[in-house]
Amino acid sequence: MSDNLTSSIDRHSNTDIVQKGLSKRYNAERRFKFYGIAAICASLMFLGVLFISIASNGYGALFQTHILLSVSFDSDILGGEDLKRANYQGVIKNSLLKMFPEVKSRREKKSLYSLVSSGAAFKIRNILIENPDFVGQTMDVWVPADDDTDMLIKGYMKRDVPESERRLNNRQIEWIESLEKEGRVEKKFNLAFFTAGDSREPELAGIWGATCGSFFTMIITLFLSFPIGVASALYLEEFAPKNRWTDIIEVNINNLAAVPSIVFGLLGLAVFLNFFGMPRSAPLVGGLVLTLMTLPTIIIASRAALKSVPPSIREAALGVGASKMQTVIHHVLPLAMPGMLTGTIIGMAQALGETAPLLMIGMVAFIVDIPGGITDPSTVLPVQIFLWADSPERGFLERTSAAIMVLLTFLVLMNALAVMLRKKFEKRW
Amino acid sequence: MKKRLICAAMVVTALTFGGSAMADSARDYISIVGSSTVYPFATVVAEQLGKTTDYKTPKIESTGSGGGFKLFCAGVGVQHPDITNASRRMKSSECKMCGENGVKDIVEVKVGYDGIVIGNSNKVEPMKLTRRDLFLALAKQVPNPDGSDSLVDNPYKTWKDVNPQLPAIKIEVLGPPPTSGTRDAFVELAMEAGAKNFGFIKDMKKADKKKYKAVCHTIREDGAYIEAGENDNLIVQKLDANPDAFGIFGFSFLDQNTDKIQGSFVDGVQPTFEGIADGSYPVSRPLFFYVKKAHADVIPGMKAYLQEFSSEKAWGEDGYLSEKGMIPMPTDERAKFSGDIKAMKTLSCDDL
Amino acid sequence: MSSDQLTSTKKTDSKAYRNGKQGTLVDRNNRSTIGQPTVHDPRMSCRNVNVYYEDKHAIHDVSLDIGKNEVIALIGPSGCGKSTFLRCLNRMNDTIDICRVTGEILLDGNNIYDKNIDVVPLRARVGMVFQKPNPFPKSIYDNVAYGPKIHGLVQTRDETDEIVKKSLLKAGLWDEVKDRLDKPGTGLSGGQQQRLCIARTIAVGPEIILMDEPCSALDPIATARIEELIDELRENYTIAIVTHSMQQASRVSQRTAFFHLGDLIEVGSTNQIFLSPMHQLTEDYITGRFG
Repeated sequence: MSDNLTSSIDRHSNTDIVQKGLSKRYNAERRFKFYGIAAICASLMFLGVLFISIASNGYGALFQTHILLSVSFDSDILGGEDLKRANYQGVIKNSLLKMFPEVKSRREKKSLYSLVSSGAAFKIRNILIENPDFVGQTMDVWVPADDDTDMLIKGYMKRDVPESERRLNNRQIEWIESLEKEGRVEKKFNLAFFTAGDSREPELAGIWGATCGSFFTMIITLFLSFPIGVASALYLEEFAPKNRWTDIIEVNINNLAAVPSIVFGLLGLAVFLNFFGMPRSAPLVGGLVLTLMTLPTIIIASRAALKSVPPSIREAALGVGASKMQTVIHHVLPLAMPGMLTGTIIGMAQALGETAPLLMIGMVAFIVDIPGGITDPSTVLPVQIFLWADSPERGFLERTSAAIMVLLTFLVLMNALAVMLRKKFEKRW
Repeated sequence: MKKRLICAAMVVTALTFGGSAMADSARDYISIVGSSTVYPFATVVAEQLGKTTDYKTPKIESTGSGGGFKLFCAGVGVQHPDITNASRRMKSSECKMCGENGVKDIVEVKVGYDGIVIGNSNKVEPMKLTRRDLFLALAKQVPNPDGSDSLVDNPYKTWKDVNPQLPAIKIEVLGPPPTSGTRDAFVELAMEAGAKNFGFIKDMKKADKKKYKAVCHTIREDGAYIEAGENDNLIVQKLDANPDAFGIFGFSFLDQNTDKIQGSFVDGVQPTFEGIADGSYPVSRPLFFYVKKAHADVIPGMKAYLQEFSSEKAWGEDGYLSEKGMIPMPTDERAKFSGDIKAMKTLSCDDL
Repeated sequence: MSSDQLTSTKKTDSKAYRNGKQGTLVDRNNRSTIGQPTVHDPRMSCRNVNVYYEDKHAIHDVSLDIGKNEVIALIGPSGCGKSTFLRCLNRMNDTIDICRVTGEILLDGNNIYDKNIDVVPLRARVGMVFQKPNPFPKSIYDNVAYGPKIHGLVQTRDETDEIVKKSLLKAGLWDEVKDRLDKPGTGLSGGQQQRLCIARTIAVGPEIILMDEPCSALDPIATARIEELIDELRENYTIAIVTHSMQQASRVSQRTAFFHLGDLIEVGSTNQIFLSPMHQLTEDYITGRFG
């Protein structure tokens, strides 16, 4: 009886205490929610700033100023029968002089010639080699402008500052303005950026070479790291006895995942180049080095994926008399596959953005020719970004950002692929 | 599915090893390594070669002068580079290392000059510095300001402290890290020369060469000198943002960014194309490349590359390399080195 | 436990049985097996089975026969070792690294823990149905066809179709799923899933089916359906079932074995165990005083 009484009094005061504390608890909850939202907003903001700054810098590189020249393929200037080695520079110079006949002095001529890219000669060379009958004719050709002209047209170079503070002199700006009036200057989509290899002239430089290099490197990395990684994960997780040796291996794999990537580059230099004598700067070696770097990531992700397969599935298979191997291959592996693929793609995306290990094996290099195979010298996208960022010409500034955009696009695509594969293969049980 | 994957992996591995064996037996492009200062010039020549001839474009790695010599001197054979660029002359120790590895016949080619600029934003007046000022402002240890012949830790905070004629702004210099060839050249050409103004330091050279070097070549570490990494573009951007700061970088970056930065006068001369070319600007250095003679006839395009580099349209007064910021050599020097190339005149380690 | 002891316990328990009605039960501290652990014509016979998890002794010296075409229920409070014991019967415990089994478990006179006994054919003969329905995340058809396929029991598509149909019929699931054999097995209701698992087990043609609390995750109607099925299956198979529900044990089984803390306390016909237990612990458990 008295028990009931005290407890009812207690209950009354308990409710009061609970009531009192309630607002404090809800406030704590609200604060926590606010911190969370603030953290997300902050990271979104940084990401937004990053993307906007890269996109606004790199957008310009998608367009390239072209100048319409009326080129006369004069056989006198071309000189000789061999169209491959003809004097195309002379043809370009001649057509510029025809447009501005008042230019006479050597110094003026030189600054006039420098309005047009040195790539213009290569362009008309290609035209003429394809159509040798054009010799003797005159035709209008859009040729790429020099990077300084390009910078002026795009507004990066100011026209109203003193002559000594810009790279184009007053005469050159006058010429460009007169060309503009005639409608002979136009910004066109910069196809060369997506189809050409590297170049020292910003207006001719493209990322196709680096993209191909990245592609070959990634192919090697994928074909080596995925089977090796999945096989190691399967063995360690499903078959290996749990003893000191497997513990040591496990600890080492986890440590390898944290090793700075440059170390793998040094290893690659010592083993693949110096010991096996593989070629320098080749995607083959780059792929091997990146395989070493990616393997721990894939093994760890694959083991996590295998661990997450419910034991009931294993028991079910064993219960009907499947062997260990059949259980793993028929049931566990397919269920773990989405996780493994995700891990692999994330590992590959990591490898795609890596420069440090490639430095040691000579993939940080100036390479113009598009690589055609895994032993051709080549570079990769992030290295191309690094090299352009270090170039003195102003035109490379926007190209650097544009190349970053391309790299980010690939990364986003790969991550989207990872999400898609996970959605597609994910099975519920 | 896994079997198929394993098969594919094996095929790839087989292909790659087969491919690598093939690549070893013949290389159809020139492999160049070396200085990051020569890199922007060598790449232009390489591109010209690739675009105007049927040879493949040479592959150029920017490894730094020292790294370049190491790779270059590792041996003769297609897996080793054919040419190394350098922003300083080969050391006799490097030449000996080459010799020990069988790289006996080396052709030395000087290609031009590079000026090292100390510059700032062009929003303010250009500074008129002397090499003595640079030494006092940047060395770790400087002669005691009271005039006695002893060294103290650098006490100077502003340029006015260093030289009363300079403005009273804080000393803040962005420059390359110790691994850079530009830094090596700067301490040697600007600071060491500035230090020689002090008699007792100059005398030290004979008495204690090691200490002399340490005094002349050690840059202060108290925050007045900021290592800005190898990326000269970064320095340019920082100077543009902070008009009080100075930067140390190669002439080609000044040449490409005249709208943002200007070079300071050093000993009364501003770093201009002409000033460096005629030798009146004191902080300039020669640029070189070194060719393995044994490769010249084996690797396709070697002769053509050397010819292209030494042609007037490349390294001449109005050549395309000068447009990229390289300072050409005087006519007689050009003639000497193009003669050396034609004759493939080899270098003797004793000359270094 | 020697055969002498077995006979002696037999004597004691017949006495105890007689005395049971009068309330003289075997003291709760007596841990030796009371009742009839052996049968005349056993399918499987376990002798002195001990199970250790590392140094933990989980099953103490259990001897028990499982007769032909009978349903034997293993009951006992949680953690008493009944599931562990069941899993010994088709060596499912092999998957646990730290688990060690001693003693003999004879199937047709061969010790299944012998070195030369292969576990794969053993599990084909001694099938298992688990507590939680665990169909493969595949179609209903593939779930049933999987066992026969890996054992090579079927060669052609027709043979597979037949065996799938037969097994589903036996499991009483055919009518419900015959139109959607290609649908995922995981899409069925809990009871249907469990019957699918039974069909999957039957498809391999086992002699003995082990069931580890097959109804604990199911509602009463699905449970009743499974219990009916167990009764039907008894004609062709020997069944050992672990259950928490004493009603279920009394409904489906002919013999019952009561486990307590790793000991087999009492075993006998289901009627006897539930109506007149001879051991104090058994009586306490079935009357709900603990468990």
